[in-house]
Amino acid sequence: MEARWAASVMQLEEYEDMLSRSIVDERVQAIAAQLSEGAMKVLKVSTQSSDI
Amino acid sequence: MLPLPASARLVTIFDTNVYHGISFERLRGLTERESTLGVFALASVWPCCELLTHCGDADDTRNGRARAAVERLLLHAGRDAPDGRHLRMHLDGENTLGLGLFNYQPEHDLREYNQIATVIRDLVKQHWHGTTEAQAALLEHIVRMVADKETAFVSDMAAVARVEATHDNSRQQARAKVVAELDGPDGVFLVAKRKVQETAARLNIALGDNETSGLAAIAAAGYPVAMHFLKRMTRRAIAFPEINWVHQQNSYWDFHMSFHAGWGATTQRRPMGTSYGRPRTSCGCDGGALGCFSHAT
Repeated sequence: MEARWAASVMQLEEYEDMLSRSIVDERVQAIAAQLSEGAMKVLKVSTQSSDI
Repeated sequence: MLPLPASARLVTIFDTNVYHGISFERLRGLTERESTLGVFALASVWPCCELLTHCGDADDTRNGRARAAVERLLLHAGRDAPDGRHLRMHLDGENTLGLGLFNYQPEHDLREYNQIATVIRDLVKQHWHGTTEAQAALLEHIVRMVADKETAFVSDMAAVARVEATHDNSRQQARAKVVAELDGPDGVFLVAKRKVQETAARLNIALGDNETSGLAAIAAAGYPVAMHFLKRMTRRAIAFPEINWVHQQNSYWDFHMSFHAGWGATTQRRPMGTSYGRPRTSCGCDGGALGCFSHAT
């Protein structure tokens, strides 16, 4: 379960890397695959490790 | 209401600290890349409020930094219109839950979001000069609102930390028992159930036990980051009652933000599951500077 939900919060650097490598669809698919159903298409982007 | 463009493949929401830390140049590059790739940025209302609390008082040492962050937020999550740049905003966490579980339409809050989006548009357009009385009053209202929310959060966490002794257990034993329950397989479900009960009470909705449990399961599955976050906070409060939550009050805003990393708004008590793409229902938003996408599916 931990791995499933952690995937939806992304650090800024990781997010920029996703954009620079044009892997938006791959990333969304990976998140969706980690969830039980549906594509999670909302990402919270942060610059720090969240205390969650 | 503004529909999401058909090209939107991903919706992204930045935390306050991103807008504080990123340079305009870096943000422009990122925004261009988002546009090319069909990534659609929205603002969350509480980062707007957090930043605006430092924008009204010229003597506030964080004033310049906060204003620059607001400008970056508007650059990232705004759209150009004839009367200035309009902010696109997502529903906040608590209201996302109320809408998702009970189809509650937060019309008052949406009107307030609209005012917040409008004041951001106008103050940036004015280059922060010539603040009107109405704008100053709204900024003061936001300062009070943020302070009230933080005070309520600290009080709530203090209440959570209060575990009383029972007939069979000392206070320490009772505390350990609750922590063990939270660490168990039903920990997330238990906090989700409490959150459902709180939300129902806030909205004056009566729920039976079975209905509460069903909605708790939906909340746990539909808002996984928020519910895990809540479990962590609850556990910390109970396991470490000496924590002074005044120093942890930013956790309240993080909690709100964490609702965005989920299935988002739901209708008819079922998670949408399939993300954003097309508008489904009117949200009562009257346009203006606010584009509310909370009912999009």
